Amino acid sequence: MGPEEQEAMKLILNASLAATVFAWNRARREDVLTSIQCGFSFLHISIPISDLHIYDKLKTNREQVLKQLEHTIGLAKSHGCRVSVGAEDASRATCEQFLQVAELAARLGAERIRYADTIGRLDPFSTYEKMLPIMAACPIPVEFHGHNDFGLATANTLAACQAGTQYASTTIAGIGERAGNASMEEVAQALRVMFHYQTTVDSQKTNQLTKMLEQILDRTSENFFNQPVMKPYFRCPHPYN
Amino acid sequence: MVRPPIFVDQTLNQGLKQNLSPDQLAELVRYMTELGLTDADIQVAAWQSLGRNFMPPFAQYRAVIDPCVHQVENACKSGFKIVNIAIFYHENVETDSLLLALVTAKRLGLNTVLQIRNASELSTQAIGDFVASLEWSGLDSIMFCDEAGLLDPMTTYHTCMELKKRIAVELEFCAYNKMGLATANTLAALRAGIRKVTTAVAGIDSYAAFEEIVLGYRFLLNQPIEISSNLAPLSRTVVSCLGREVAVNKPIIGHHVFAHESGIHVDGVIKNPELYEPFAPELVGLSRRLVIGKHSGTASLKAKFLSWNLPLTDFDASLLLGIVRRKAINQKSPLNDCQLIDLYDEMLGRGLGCEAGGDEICRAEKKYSLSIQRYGMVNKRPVLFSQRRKSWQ
Repeated sequence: MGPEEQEAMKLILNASLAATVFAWNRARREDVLTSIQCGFSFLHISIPISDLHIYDKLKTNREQVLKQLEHTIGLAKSHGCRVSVGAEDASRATCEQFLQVAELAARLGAERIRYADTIGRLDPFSTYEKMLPIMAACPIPVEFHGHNDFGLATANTLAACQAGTQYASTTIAGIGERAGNASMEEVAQALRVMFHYQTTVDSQKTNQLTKMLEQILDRTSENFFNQPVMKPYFRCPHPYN
Repeated sequence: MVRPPIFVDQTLNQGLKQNLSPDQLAELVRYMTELGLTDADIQVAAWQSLGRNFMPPFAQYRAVIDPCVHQVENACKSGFKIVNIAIFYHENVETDSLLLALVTAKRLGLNTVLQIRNASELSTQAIGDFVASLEWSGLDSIMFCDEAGLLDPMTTYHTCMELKKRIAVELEFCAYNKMGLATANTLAALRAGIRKVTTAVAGIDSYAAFEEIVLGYRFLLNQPIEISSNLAPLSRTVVSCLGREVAVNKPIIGHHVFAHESGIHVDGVIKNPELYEPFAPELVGLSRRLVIGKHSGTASLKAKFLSWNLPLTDFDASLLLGIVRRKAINQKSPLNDCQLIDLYDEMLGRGLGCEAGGDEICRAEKKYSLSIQRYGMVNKRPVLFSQRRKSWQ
């Protein structure tokens, strides 16, 4: 985390939001300490759990990664922080590998684990199939984090909810790395309309929020083909150009 | 799922709705053919307004009409070989005119498709019974539409499986993106063994996006299908023919979908692209991009400059990173390559000389900065700038 990001983090914390704000960390001592320094009392600590990421990216082995997780959770806990654990690239790991991390996390006092489909390679059917055995055995609540590389982030998040995951990871208008993540409006709307969930998401306010975001990102909201759930995929050339 | 799916396109129809000129439409048709899209639904009236000299419709073009004998004859006269009769089904639906239209179409030697626009609101029982009552007219296929966007992928799959058992004619599927589920539902229908699905290039007009279905069919359903090596550029061209621009984050074809910004992702992609890419960008005619912005790390900067044959030292990279991050935060977006080069030049003090023209100090600075770069002493250079630039603050 650079100084500018730390500044931003502090601003978010000081905005005294009703939401629970937590900081994303790699399983590294320096990350955890910086977050604590910024004033966070809830930390998300992420490790990759697929062989590909462990051997090709971190160039280490599974024992080492788990040991690192153990140390960083211990460090966070010793500062009195609440902890959530992230399992990066879980969709390319096995169910057993995920549960191994979940059990370790639970034993160390983490209260939630995130299942990340890091490259968006799941479809709703495989999501459901993979989440069912996990939900049956996982000792702590699970959060599903989908990516939109095949345009399926919303559908996958819904399928995970159908399989029983307690948390859905979403972003406003689905912004995110590459093709983005699941969009909060779409997931909330679909859960409300199709599965009759009670959500606290106010659709009018999310529309305002989406518009605000589009202004900030310079994506105009015209030409969305009257979709009630907006997805800023197209934009019109500026009328005066 | 042995034979590849057939895509019934709606993009051309959108072009007709937007009153594109015959030349523009002919161009559009050329691009669509290049994409392998030869089946399309067409509004007959709009097609006829192009005049008699416009190209005859392809054999697989389907005239979308109301259940009316006059319109069937009209479509036949315009050269269509297939009619797509669109209806809303309800309990007291008028079947006489529909049957008459179907029979007339058959008599004229046309293939017939019945489009049930509100099919997702009906029970499979109701659809099955309704279709059974029409079968004697020689109906060729049923197009199941989800105009209200009520379906989720699981329901789509089960509905399609059940309907396939209930009806004897071919079943087609058409999803709408009201809930952002058009792609997921269309793939679910393909999984259920449906062969003809409705799509539009880049998902225009709230249909399922053609590119997402093609790639999803290949990589998620693991079925063989030909992927045009020019898929993304062609799709973008089609969208620009319609006067629109594809958003940067549009899956498969957007400008940003193979862009990597955060330090962790860039570091990973440099080691092995498979870490953060579901398939190689070249497969759809795109290339990987390293984006430099506020989430960048020194690894990204070094990789970016190395790609321009300008290796950065650790010190330079971390110095430049601070400047880059501040700039990206200020402008609330990543930096483009020109901005990056400008900042780099500024850091080395090159930009100042040019701006100040004949200024003696600046010229000295410029000369100095160039010479120290030559001798590899960049890191030891003291700050010599006569003025601080705004972008530095």
